[in-house]
Amino acid sequence: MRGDAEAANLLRPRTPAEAVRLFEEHKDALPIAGGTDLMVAWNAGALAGRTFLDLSPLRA
Amino acid sequence: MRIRFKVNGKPRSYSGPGMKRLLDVLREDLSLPGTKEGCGEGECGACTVLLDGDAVASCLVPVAQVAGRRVATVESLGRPDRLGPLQEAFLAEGAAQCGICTPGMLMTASAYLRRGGRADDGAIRRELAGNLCRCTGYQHIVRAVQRAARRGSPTARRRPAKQKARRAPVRRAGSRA
Repeated sequence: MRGDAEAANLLRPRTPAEAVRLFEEHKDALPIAGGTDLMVAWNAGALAGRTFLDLSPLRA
Repeated sequence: MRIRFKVNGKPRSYSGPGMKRLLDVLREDLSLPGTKEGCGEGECGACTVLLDGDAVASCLVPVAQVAGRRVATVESLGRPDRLGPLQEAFLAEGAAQCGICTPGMLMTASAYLRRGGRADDGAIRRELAGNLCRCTGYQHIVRAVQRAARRGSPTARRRPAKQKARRAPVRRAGSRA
C-alpha cells in the first residue's frame, strides 16, 4: 500500500531562503524535486508519515 | 491544499492532500478515468499524461507539483463519436489488444507527433521505449504512429464531411517520405 496522502506533511517553499529555513525547522524532511525515485518508495508505502520538502517550485 | 491547474485546456481546481498522485486525482477527483494505472512505479508508462507538453508518468507526480501547469490526458485526443487522427490510426492498424497500455501509448505518441516526429520506425520505437505493452502488440502500435505521422497533427480533428468526401481514396505518391 502506498503512503497515506492525508497523513503526509508537504512543505512547498517559494524561495531558496524559505526552503533553507523550513529544512532547518524540519530536519527529518525528505527533499523532493522531480520525484522519480522518491515517488516509487512513496507508492510502495516506505515513506508513510514522512514530511516532504518540495523543491520543484524553486525551478527558474 | 488547494491547487489550480489546467486539464485538457480547462481550468480545474483540486482540494486535498498535495501528495496524492496526479493519476488518482485525474481518475477520482476529476472523473477522467481514461488514464490507466499499470505498474504504479514508473516503469510501464500506462499512466502517461502530458505535463506542459512533456510525457510524464502520472503515478510519480504528486498533485502539488502540477499547480499552475497544463495537463493533457487521453480524453483530449478525441471523443468516442469523434476520434482524433492518432486514435483513428490505432483503430485502423489494430494497435490495441487488452487496451491498458493504449492511453499511455497514445499520449507518448501525441507528444512525439506534436514535436514534429516523423514516420520513422527507429525514432518511434525509441520514443515509445518507456511504454510497455504486455500483449506485445508493438508492431501494430508502431505502424499506427507511422500512419498518424504521415497524416499530420494528432490534435487536428477529423475533416468536415464535405472535405472528407473529397479525400482521395488512393495513397498520394510520396506519402511515405
